[in-house]
Amino acid sequence: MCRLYKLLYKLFPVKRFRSILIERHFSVCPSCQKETEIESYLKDMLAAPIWIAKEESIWPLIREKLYSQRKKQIKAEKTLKPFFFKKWKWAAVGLVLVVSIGVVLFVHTNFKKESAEAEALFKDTPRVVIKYAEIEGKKARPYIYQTPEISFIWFSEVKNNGG
Amino acid sequence: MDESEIISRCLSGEIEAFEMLVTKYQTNLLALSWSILRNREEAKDVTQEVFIQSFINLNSFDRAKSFKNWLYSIAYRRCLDRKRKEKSSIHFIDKMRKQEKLFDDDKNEKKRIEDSDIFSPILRKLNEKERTVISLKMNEGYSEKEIAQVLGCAESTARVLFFNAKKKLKKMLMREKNV
Repeated sequence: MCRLYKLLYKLFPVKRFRSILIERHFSVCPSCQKETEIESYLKDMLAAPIWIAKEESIWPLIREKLYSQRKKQIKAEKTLKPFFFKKWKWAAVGLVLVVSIGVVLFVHTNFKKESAEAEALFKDTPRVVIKYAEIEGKKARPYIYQTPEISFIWFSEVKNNGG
Repeated sequence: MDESEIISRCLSGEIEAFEMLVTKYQTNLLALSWSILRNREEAKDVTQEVFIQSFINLNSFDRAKSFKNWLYSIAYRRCLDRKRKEKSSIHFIDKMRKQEKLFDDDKNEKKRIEDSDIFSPILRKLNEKERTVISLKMNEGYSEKEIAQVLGCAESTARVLFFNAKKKLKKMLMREKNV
């Protein structure tokens, strides 16, 4: 029976007719009455309690917290700012890095060049080799300092430490 | 003043402008938090947290969407977090209760009952999600689409959740009233 009324309610577009139809049905149908009763009970049950509407504004508390948070944020920024937040300081750091990398590269390549040249010179220069030396019949130790242009050679006595 | 304008002012750092939004949505948020948590103090705490969090993360708010729904979704997540924490601490609290007999005091017990909703113990039988859906639908008149936005789920899921929650409630009420 209820289904038939629901169907009729959906089919007929005239609002007044709909309301008459449904009111009449509600007045006689115990099942629908119970359903509407439960529906209204549910609404009452779910309605927000009175204290919510009466509750004082929480804005002062929120305001206080937001301001204190902002203060903290500003403080944190200030402590970091001297170095981290200025663009020109970043630029300076970058420049120093670039210059130092340039210097390192320059020194490194020059050093390599020089050592390669020296090596090439030494290859062409005949080397002095002393196999044995004596001073007044005693074995002597030879010292050689040789450059491509000149060679220094000197000898010293080998001291006997009693061993 | 237009809501969008207020948001713009807040985004430019004007804290005082936020008062209008707090005043506008305080009752709604309290009602939603209370409907999930069923505890006055906790609902107030969550409402405060939601407002603060929303002000801090205001730049992440999509202006094309509803601000109210955004607030509701934050509140919903916060409430769930609370519930989760509460569940994990229940074991510990029970132990404490046994040891110190905290709730022996009549005054404490009275206050606890006042704070909780003695009017609708049936609602406690629903889970948080169902309570949220029911509250949004019946109190706010939200559509399934809006509910889905708040819960962060599909529209069909919201529809099913509401249907099941309502069915559950009706069943419980019928049983209670012996219909």
